[in-house]
Amino acid sequence: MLPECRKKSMEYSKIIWVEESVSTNTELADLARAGDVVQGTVLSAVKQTGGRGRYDRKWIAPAGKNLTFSIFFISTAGFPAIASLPMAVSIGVKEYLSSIGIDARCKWPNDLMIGDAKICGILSERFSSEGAGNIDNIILGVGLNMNMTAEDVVGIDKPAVSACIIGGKTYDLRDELKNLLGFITPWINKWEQGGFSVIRERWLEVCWKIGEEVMIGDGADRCCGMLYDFGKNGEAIVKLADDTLKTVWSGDVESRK
Amino acid sequence: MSTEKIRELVEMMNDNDLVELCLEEENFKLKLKKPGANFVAAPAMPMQMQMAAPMAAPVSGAAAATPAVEDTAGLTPIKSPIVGTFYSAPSPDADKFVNPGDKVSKESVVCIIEAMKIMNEVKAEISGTIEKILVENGEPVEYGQPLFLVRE
Repeated sequence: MLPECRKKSMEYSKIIWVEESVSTNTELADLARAGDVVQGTVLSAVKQTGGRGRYDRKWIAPAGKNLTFSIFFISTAGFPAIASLPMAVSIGVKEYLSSIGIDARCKWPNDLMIGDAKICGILSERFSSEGAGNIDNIILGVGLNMNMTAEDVVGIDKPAVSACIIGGKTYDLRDELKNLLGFITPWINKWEQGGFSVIRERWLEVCWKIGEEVMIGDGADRCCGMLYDFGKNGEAIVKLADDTLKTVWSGDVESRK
Repeated sequence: MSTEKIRELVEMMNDNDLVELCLEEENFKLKLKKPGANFVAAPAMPMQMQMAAPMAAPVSGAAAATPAVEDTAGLTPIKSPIVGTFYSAPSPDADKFVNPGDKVSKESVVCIIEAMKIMNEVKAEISGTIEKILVENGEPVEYGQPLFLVRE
C-alpha cells in the first residue's frame, strides 16, 4: 500500500525556496527520511554551494544564475523500471527549453546538450525508509543553466552553455521554475503509466548522438560503438565494431573525437 | 611469467609453509593456493605431490587471475540487487559506509550502486558483522554479484 501522500498523478505540491543549500538532493532527502515532505515537494536553492555531479564533480551554481532544485517522488516501480524515470524528467526539461526557443537534446541517461555543450544535468537518488517494503523514495535533482553568461561558464571543466547565452536574455528563476515544473510533471505522469515504453518514442526523437559513433560506459567497461537503441528500461544498446550489441547500464555517452 | 619462475614461487611457499600466495604486477595477476588450504587440519603431503598438485595454472596476462575457493563457511553474502557501478562511500572524500569488523543491521546502508545516474542505496538486509568487502570502489557489478561477506 502506498502512503496517503501518494497521488494518482504527480503534481508538484509545494516549492520550498532556500537561499543557500550545499546540495538540494541531500537536503530534500533528509526531509524525506524524516517524513517531513509529501510527494511532489520541490526544494530549490537560490545558491547551491556543493551540488554533486558524478565522480563528485561540483555543480557550480552562483546565486540567481541557475535553477538548482530537487523533486521528491515515491514509487513502487523498483529497479530496473525506475532507471528510466530521470529520462522522463529530461524530456520534460527539453520541452520546456523548446517553449522558450532553445533546441536542446537529451544525452543518455541524464544530461541535456546544445551541440557539445551541457545546459542541464540530472542526478537522482533512491532509498527506502525503514520498514517501507518495496516503496522507494526518489529524489530527482536538476541543475539547469539559466542566467550564466559566457564569462561565467569559462570556469566549468567541460563545455557548458546557458539559456541566457543562447536566448540573449535573463530569466526570473522563480517564474521559470514553475513553468519548467509544468513541463516535467506531465512526463513523470506519462512515465508512471508504463515506464520507458510510454516515453520511448519521444526519447528516440530527442536523443543526443543516436545513430552516431560514441564513447560510452564507465571505467574499464568503457567502449566505442554506435549508439544504436535502448532496452525496455531505457538502458543503452551500443553496436560494436564487430556488429555485436552491448547493453550499457552505467556511465556517460561522449562524443567520439 | 615463466614456468620456472612459478616453480620457484611454489618452492618458496613450501619452504615457508605458505598455503596461499597472491602476486600482482602491472597487467599480471597470479594466485597460488594449495588444495585443501581452507582446512586447518590438511594433511602434509610429500614435496613431489605438492608440486604435482593442480594449483593455479601459470597463465600470463591480465586473465591470469584464477578463481580460488575462499573460506566462506559460515559467511553470508550481501549480493548486488542491481547492475551498475559500486560505490563504497557517499562521496569520494567521505568515510566508507562499512568496513570489515563493522556490525550491521538489516536497515544498515552498506553501499551505493549507481545505474543510469540513479544512486541506489543498498541495505544489508541481514544482521551481523562485515567480514570482507569483495569489490573495489568504482567497480562495475552485475545483478546478484556478492559484494560483502557477513558473519551472522
